[in-house]
Amino acid sequence: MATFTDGHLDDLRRRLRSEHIGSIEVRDVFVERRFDAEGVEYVQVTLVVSEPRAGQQTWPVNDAFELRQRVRWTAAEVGIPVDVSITITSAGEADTQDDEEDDDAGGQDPGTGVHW
Amino acid sequence: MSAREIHPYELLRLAERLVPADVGRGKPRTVELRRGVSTAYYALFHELIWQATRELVGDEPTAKIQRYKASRWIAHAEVKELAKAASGASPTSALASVLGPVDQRLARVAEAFVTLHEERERADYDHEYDIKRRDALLLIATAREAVDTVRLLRKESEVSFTRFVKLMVAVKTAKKR
Repeated sequence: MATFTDGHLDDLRRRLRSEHIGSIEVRDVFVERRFDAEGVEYVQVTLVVSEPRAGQQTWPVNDAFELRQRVRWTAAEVGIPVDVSITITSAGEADTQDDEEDDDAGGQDPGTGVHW
Repeated sequence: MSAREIHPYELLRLAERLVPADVGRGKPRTVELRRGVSTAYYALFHELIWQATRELVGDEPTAKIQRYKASRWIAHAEVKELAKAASGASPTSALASVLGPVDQRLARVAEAFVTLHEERERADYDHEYDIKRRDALLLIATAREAVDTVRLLRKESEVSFTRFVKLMVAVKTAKKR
């Protein structure tokens, strides 16, 4: 089993930080080792990118596809031998509206008052 | 019996209702983003299952029950292995060698499958999954494009696509090689 070090992850992070594909600019990169439900190690890459263009609700699918491909090629180039999972997000607001009474995951159902 | 089949485009429309592109209908809850991502993944998964089982047992109405039974042979993780081979993420695998050269549109479908599978895992199980509305919209649009592309490849009887869907039931065997 091939191994890799934190140096490989730093290298990957550094090389992805200045990526720019189509309308998407990478602003920050988070890279971490994780294990899936079967205990298999993988690398989670989270790309924090520029906001979608004005008037657009999200990024172009094609740009996102090319960015993910770039991440996989770069990971292979720096010698990361495990799967790389890629998440594309941005630093802005989540744009969601959650019910405050649901904040406690072990709390009551506000509709019925039943604990679950 | 009048059970309704699982329709990939119905799943896509459900995902789009859960995560509306039009904010005029109100902001979605985080749980709706999670379910939207998961539903988008299932749209692509079921589309590929449909294409694989019609190759295996035929698409005649009389073969419906056989298709349903064969569809349970296809496992998520195994399709992901095959998709990684088709996308170029694991070019040296036994699957990649049998799959051979892949149409670029299929490679894109495969990359979409790998991405959606990973995001669906997080949406369904990871309490720390920090998803935003635009992230979910991107994933749902990715799923829609992939399902449309699958239909197109099927219509063309594209060679690598046909091989891909036939191999969906052989992943377990290939992994032992």
